[in-house]
Amino acid sequence: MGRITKVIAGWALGLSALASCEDKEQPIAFPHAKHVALKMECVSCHTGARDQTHAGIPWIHSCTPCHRLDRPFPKTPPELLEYINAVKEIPWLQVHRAPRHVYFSHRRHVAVAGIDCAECHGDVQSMDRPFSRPMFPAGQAGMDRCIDCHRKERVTTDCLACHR
Amino acid sequence: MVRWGMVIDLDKCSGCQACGVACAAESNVAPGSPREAWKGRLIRWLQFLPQAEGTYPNVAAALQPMMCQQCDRPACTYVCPVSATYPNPQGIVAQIYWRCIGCRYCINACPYTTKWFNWWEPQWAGNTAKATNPDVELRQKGISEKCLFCSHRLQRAKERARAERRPLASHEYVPACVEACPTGAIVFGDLEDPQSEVSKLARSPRAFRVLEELGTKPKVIYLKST
Repeated sequence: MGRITKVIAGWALGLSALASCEDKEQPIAFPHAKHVALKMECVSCHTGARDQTHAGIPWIHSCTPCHRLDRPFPKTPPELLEYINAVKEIPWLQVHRAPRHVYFSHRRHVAVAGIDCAECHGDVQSMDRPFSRPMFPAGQAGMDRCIDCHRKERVTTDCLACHR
Repeated sequence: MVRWGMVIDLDKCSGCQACGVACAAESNVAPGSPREAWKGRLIRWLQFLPQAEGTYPNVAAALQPMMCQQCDRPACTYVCPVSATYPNPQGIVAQIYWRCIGCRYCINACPYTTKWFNWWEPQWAGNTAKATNPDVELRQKGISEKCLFCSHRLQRAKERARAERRPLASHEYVPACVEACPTGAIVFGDLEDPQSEVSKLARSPRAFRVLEELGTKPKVIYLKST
């Protein structure tokens, strides 16, 4: 009986791991590539990515300074216009999430260590859609990835430096 | 290299237990149930040892705050089979919850009985789990836990100092119990720095360590009440 329960539990765990890699349908097909081509910086929408622990997810007023009805450029797609007119937040789905027992700070990696966003988030400048699944294989960054880089850069590998 | 340590002046300590409350709130220690209390298995990272001072009939009661003594030679780390607990280079005895396999060797090895085992899933009434400190992990059933000198505060303080490109000043990193103490009985700082208040107090003739004869070399130092 115990073995059967374990098999079922293992199967359920496997399923949930798969579910975490499943594509998430974002409310708007935001093209990162177009925005990066216009020389926009990551931090202009993802505020806090440089100087705070968490990188922000843009709110509707990140779009409105450029996407205005009285301007022919840039074009405002109708689905975005709906949110702007209703002054409603776009319900973006969070894709990358650090577990609670890890202290992952963007400031530590971007401002202090000077690591480029692409190092972890990949080739965002050529993405014509928003993230629908985590950048990392199997859906998780994994501690191996952290440790590899920490060893390479001779940064501390003391558990307490990141775990809590 | 820094060596974080703490001095508790038992003369100044009024036994108000504010440090215990601050500790539980900061470190997400679950309130516990009557069943746990009845079995003597309530988890409190910071406990109070009742002490009687003086001789009869002139007796006064006192409380001695007891948290993980952050030993330089910690007995708990020698027995851990998975290195879930180890002394880190700055002298904090770490406990990595996700590495712990729940063997409870460390809890038995600790002569101060300041390590705790989660015999049950910690219970949080209603939505209170959502109101816990996001900087500290919520523990699970089957792992041991203890005071870490609020090392999550050190993580943030170090980062702030590095972002501003300056060395970390020792007043920037203060554990919750020190902050809460209304009489200033608990002093925290760098024991390696001979000028720091904590190392000056540690050299006082009133200073003693609990169970000093065991050779565990605790970094929590008490000052005898006179």
